[in-house]
Amino acid sequence: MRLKTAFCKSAFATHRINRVRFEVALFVIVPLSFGASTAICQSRAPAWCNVPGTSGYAGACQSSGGTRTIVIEREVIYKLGPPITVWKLPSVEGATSSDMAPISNRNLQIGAGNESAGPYGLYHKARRALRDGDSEKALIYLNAALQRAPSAREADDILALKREAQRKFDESQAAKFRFQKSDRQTELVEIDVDGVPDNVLAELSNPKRMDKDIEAVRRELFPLFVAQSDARKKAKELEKMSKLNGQGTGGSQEQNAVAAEIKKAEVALDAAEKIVRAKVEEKKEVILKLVPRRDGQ
Amino acid sequence: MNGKSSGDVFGFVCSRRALLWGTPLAFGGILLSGVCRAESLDAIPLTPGAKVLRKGYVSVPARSSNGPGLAGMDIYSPARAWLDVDFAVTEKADLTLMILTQRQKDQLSRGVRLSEDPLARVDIEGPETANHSIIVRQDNYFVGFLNDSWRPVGAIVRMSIRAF
Repeated sequence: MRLKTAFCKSAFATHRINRVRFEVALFVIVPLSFGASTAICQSRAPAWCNVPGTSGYAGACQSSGGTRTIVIEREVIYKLGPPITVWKLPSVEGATSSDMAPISNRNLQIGAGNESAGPYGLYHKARRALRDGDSEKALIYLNAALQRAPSAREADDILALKREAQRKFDESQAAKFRFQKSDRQTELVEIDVDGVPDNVLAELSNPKRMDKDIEAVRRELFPLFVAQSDARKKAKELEKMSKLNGQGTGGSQEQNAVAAEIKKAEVALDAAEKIVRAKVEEKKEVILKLVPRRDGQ
Repeated sequence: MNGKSSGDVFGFVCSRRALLWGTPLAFGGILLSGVCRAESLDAIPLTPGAKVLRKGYVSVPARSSNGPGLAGMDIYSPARAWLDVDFAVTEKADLTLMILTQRQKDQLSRGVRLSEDPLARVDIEGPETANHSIIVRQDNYFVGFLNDSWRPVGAIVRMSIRAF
């Protein structure tokens, strides 16, 4: 503070000089907040100037220029306004209020139900439903929310939640599905496997090997083994028939037909064996791969 | 001595630090004061000067083929005022508090869609004790509770009005 030009009698006069700026602000804020008008008592109060370069008191201090900080006191004049209605007596509200009671008015019930939630209200209902694990109900709320003209921002939130609800709904539907034991009949078939090394067959038949790789190989190889076995059986049967026919009175034409069948079966067997061998060779590495066993061995 | 200490207190109260911390705390307190988890309306003090219109237990009927269950009352505000609806629901519920003007209520009763949003629509999930306040003018209003669940739900309701 460089200059003190005016001084009015007040309790604040004893305050330290560095608080003066706040006091000035307080004098401005308090009257304004009460809506009161103010007057400044500059001229009535004795002025006090004791700073060198100023011209005494009785009136505003004169200085040679620059920034000046002053202390002022404002007189608050409260204006009388219209009376504030506290309440009207007798109480009109009591005379016209009905009791809080159940209402049976279909139009009002349905209309109020429809108006009871805006898009964002429905969004929040959907969130609660989702939190409670009812994704189906959440989807119903979200679809209804989308039909109530949501704003762009609301629509973003609604669509994001709908995606989540849809995912949870799909998951819950999948969880509801229970795999049941099939009533399809199966049979055990004895097949002859040929051309497969013992160690490969041992691994293929090992019930402790249940890893994904060997399961895939089994699904590929076992049908080939069956095909090979069937081809071999067919060839043997034809050969047996041929022998029986040779002992009998069959014509040469019939013998030729049987021979052709045998030849065909042998070709098929040959092809099946080749396929099996090739496949076993191809998958040998996978079959013999060292896999940690379930029993820890 | 006394003057000094009172000056210090004055200085603290008006200091920037006190204003910085005090203002948000005061506003937060005001905002949170009406919402709490309790089972009676004692948790919500009545605003000084407020006039209680109705206070009591109401059973909101279950949803039916007529639509959601509805319980409500008409009120009249003789002047511009704060309308406070305090409620306590002790069980899980699917209620909606709705406040409509008389005109809106008439529109809905005629089966006409509202041209403007209702004055209030507040989801009540339960169990909870809370309040909702709106400013009303001199007019008739309808305060209703909608029940969207298939069983009736009870609520303790206090409606008060305070002119300002």
